[in-house]
Amino acid sequence: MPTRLENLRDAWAAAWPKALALWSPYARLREPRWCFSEREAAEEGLTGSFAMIRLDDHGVVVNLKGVEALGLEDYALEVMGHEVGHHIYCPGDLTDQARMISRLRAALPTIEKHAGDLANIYADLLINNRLQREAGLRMADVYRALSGPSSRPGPLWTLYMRIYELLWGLNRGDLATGKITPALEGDAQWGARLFRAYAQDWVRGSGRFGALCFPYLLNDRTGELEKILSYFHDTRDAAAGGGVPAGLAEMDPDEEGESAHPSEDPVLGGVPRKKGTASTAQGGGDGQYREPFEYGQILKSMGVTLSDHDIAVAYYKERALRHLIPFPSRKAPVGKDPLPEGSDAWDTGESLAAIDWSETLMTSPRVIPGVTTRQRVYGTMEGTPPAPEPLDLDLYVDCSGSMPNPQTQMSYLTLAGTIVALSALRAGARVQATLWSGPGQFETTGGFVRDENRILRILTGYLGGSTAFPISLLGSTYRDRKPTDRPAHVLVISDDGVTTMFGPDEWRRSGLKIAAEALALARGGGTWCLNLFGRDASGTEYDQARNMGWTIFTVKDWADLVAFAQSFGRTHYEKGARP
Amino acid sequence: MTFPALPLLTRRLAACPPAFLEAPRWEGSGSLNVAALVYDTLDFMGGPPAATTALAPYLGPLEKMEKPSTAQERLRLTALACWLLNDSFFRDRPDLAPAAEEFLRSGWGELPSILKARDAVAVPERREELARRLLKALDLRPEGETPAQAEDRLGALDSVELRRVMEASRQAQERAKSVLEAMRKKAAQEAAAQYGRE
Repeated sequence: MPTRLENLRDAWAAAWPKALALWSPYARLREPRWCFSEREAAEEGLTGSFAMIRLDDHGVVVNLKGVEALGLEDYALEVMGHEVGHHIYCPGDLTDQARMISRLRAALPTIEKHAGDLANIYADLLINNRLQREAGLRMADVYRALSGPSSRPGPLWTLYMRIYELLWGLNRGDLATGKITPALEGDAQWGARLFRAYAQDWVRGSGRFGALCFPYLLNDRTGELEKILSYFHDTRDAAAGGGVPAGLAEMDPDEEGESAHPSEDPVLGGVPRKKGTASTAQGGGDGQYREPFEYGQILKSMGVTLSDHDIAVAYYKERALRHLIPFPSRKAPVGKDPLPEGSDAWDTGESLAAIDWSETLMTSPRVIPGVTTRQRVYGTMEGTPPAPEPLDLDLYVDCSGSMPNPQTQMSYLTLAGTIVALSALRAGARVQATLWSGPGQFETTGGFVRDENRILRILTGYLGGSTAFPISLLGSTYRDRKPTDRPAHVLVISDDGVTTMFGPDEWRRSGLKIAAEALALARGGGTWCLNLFGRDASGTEYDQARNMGWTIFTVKDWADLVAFAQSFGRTHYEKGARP
Repeated sequence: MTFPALPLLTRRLAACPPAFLEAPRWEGSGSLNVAALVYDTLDFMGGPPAATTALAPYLGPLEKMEKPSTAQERLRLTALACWLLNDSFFRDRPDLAPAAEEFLRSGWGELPSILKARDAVAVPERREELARRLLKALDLRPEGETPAQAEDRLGALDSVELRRVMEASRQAQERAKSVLEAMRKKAAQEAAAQYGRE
């Protein structure tokens, strides 16, 4: 005999197609994962709420035990229609979720940590408004059934409920049972306008909603938002286990400008703030990039569970993509394939191996050297061009204390390294990436590899110590390299600390000698790309380097490294040009 | 007691002929004769004929303090109210005529300085507000609503009240920004002090 929860499951499963049809007759999502206990729900990642979505596998999870406990058994269509709305309407996918959170963060200076939570209730309001007004569902009754997060709701919850009342033409106090001050009533009016005006362009409206809620969150001493979300946070871990959305490193145009209060939005009947006056949102967004720290914070607000290091890898990879070019490769001469062209007499004195015995015996079964012996004659034809022979890349990136930590601040050294390394991999080369700082303080792939993640994890690491080029590593890389091995180009990205290359190694061997030998054995040339902050690369060490065969390229600003990385292959190697 | 259905009134307002939004006749210019509209409307409702002197408010500014632009909007809104009162629900309702006359004459308050007549036709919320204001002045309410519901709904739509609460909202936002600026300044000072110690 089916249990009570099984009956509930059957009833809700029967309503699932209707919940999908609320949004589109073509919507296809698999049936929700039904949980019959808190433990099962926790295993699915559902804690605190009674339903949730997962954007990575387009799944819906429903905790039937929680539904029963909250008395929501009769609201199958409302609850499931709401969850489907998260998949189809808002946020829909990871990219839009990320764009929404980034705008909310811009609207919540000093309290950016609330952006993910606020994104959830913003999306809820958009979805519920549509379901109540257009589909005629009883969303207000769901809120009445839940009766809010506490018996004495605070200002934020009151504002939120008052917006619903205004949108749905409900009486004051029907949902908003807290104290409604004139300012709160005004905010609710702005909020209602916001949700009407930006229902179809909700990403742009999200920042304004953040600005509307900002004073409430700033003054929230009781953790009210957390209380609200204890019931309704159904997108908390929506991105858990999923990938990193593309395009997040670059800010949307006017992303921060659109995070002003609705009273400053002409679309809503507000008056734009005069330029130059203070606003909670700072800066502009057109063509600008976020810092890696902010990039990581946005991802974490979405529930992405990657480490800071993995997030940094995704960040620099995304930023490098637009700069990638095929890595330089040298083409070997076109090969000649032999083409049989008949036979000719074989004479004594010619190589015995050249005799074509079949032809010889066909001429006469009695073999008379120089008379009946035949040999095959070959012509030539142009062979298939061999695959390009890309130069391996031996990349050394300075990561001493004067360099930024790429996981928190934008590091152009890391970006340039990423551009060059990914270009090399794209062209079929192998890369040895080394991050170096003080004596014996370096991280390396330990050989030439084609594992992109391994290389980028090295490049996005951080050492932050003193400065001493790992000359012994350079030496050991090429000491046993065979002439048949592929040539390698040695690229060092650093500042004036690069000259530590010529100092003695830990065994007191001359760095000058090791570097010269390594460069010769590498056979692909070497480049120093240095930020000398406007100074010339002049002096004994630089002259020695040039004489040794290093090409020295200087930049005045770290940002110039990007242009260097782009032109690196094109200038020296493109179309088979030798360095 | 019967009450009119609100959607009928708002639909009627939405279908208002453009002539009702033209410039009121005033000191020899304008084409919209509001005084004539009021006279005909009260007659339509079955009220006593309006005296010529009672039509003075519809011929120009109420008093010297009233701005010409505000007076123009007041007269346009009066014309729209007349258009509403010409609905069949109000035909031959002499009981409502005195209240209607009072509303048309002096029931506008600050509204004409805030609400444009064209918005009262084009914007759904403003249509509802005008219809509700008229019903309230006639001591009526929309069909199916309790007095409290009608009062609350009008309170949520009231343009004058809306301006007041939205201004309160804006001031609260300004205060929040001030708090934020103070927090930023304090954080910067603390950072500078820490840097100095190090």
